[in-house]
Amino acid sequence: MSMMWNNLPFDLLSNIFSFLSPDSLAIARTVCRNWHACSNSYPLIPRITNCATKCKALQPWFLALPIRNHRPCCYAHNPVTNNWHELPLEFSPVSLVKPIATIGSLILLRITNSTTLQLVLCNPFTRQFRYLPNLNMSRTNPAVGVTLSEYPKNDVLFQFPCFRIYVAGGMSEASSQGGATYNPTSEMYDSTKNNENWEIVGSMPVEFSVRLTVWTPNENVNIKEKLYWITSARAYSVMGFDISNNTWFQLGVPMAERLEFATLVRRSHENLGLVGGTCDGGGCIWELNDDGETWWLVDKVPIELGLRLLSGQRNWDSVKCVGSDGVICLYRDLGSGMVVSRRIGEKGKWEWNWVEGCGYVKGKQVHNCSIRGTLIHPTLASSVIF
Amino acid sequence: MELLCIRQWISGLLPTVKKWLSAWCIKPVGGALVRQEPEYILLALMGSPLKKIMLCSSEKEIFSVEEQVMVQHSVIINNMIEDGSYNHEESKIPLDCVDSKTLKKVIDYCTHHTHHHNDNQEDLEAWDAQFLNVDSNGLYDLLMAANYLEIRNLLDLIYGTIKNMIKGKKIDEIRRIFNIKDHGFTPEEEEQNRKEYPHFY
Repeated sequence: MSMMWNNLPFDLLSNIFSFLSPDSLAIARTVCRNWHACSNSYPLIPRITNCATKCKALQPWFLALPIRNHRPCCYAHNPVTNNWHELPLEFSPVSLVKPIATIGSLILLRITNSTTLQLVLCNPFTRQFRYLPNLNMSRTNPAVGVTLSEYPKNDVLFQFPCFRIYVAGGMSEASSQGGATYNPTSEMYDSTKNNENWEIVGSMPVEFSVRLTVWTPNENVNIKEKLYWITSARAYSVMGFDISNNTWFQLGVPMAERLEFATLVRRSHENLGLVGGTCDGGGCIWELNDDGETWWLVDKVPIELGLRLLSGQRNWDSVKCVGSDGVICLYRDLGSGMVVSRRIGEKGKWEWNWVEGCGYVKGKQVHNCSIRGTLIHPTLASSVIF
Repeated sequence: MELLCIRQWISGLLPTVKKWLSAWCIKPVGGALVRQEPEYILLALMGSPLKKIMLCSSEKEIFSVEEQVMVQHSVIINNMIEDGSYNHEESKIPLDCVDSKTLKKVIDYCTHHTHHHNDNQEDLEAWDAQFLNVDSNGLYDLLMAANYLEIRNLLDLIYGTIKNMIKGKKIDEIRRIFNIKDHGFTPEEEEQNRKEYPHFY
């Protein structure tokens, strides 16, 4: 009987594996032939939804992508073991990328050494990547938004990601008639369709296309059928696109003139959140009310954690933020450490914690650098999208 | 005293009670009672009849369990009782792949969870932790039994325990914990494995 752990039936073993995070799974695979074969043949779908049983849902990992780096890699933080891992990122031939959105376990990235928009889909854990087809019109610095076709069920999210990417605004190349213009159209890419094309889906008022091009930092938040972007500097305001009726709208933001940083986050699948900071008010979190216009203050960053994050800085200018269902991370650069807020349970309270920055990986020192962060659900499963 | 014990005590008294009933000439009256034995009248007076089923381990040892308990936890046994293939008078359910020691533990788990399902979460979790405080051989047997009998909550509990045994450990430690003496890889294959996800090793 004692020799039987290396001879388990695959359906049992794959159930056990579904509870493991990628780093544990990567090691478990190498324990014996039987475990290796199982992890190769069975889809490795991590549990991100709360199952009926008492097991806790896996938490997303914070992924830090250096903005300027000598060698292409990113850093992933495991929230359970509180460890940082260095993951190589090699996209031949280019390697400088900027994250735009996360789709479950995939990141959508923009190639930064090209002025016109070029998008790549990538799973940093399996190192698979794929370039998306070119847009119908080449655009510089457009706004990009991603929607998941339906509220994702576990399996669907990882194996057959169903999403749509919207690209709006941007500057078109200078045409023979005159200079470059702001592009007032939006295009859409549907992952469920087999064709390799973007579809032009609509147009927008010119002032929107100007603002989206000049003022958006590229991160968007999708709540139900709406996409939201926030301008990249004061005075902050939010631009929105209602997909169901193809209309654009605008929203005000509390303390728009005074906020030193502001980011939109997804507080839950129904609520849009705004995270911002001022030197006298500290860090605050607001949620958009059901009326779709007013915000109310729901939480504040604990003072000690805020001070620790700022570490001597006078204001919140250098602070950045990412959030996804149930998690919000405030960070500055790779080594500065993070303030993390997590929701406990389905409708529970939010708990604040400190996470040390990435200073060392496997004993070797890591040089501090400025980063862009994103939250991802890691998996070692390969997706059909690649 | 636990209800189970009370019932067992009463069952022990039945022969005497039966004799007493006959001595006092209390005969069943009415069509419904004619077919019933005194045991059932007494049990019916106490509450619903305590139906038991017989489970037979691979070592041919018979375990008697409350039907309600097993039906609540094991999908296999529930299906057998529902489709009528189990005859209460005569049948025993043969479980050839579960030995006596493991079967006793499984019955223990199901019985505790049925009788204590109203307990608070912490107490139940503490009991579960104590229950699974076994060596890897015992855990393996429990896993196989829970899988065969399709006892969902016991299976999930075992998966969680195994996950904790794997999480954060190195390859050699995992092999030692799970008693895997022969991993089946050639040295070249082991080398290859280490190159797959080098950032995790």
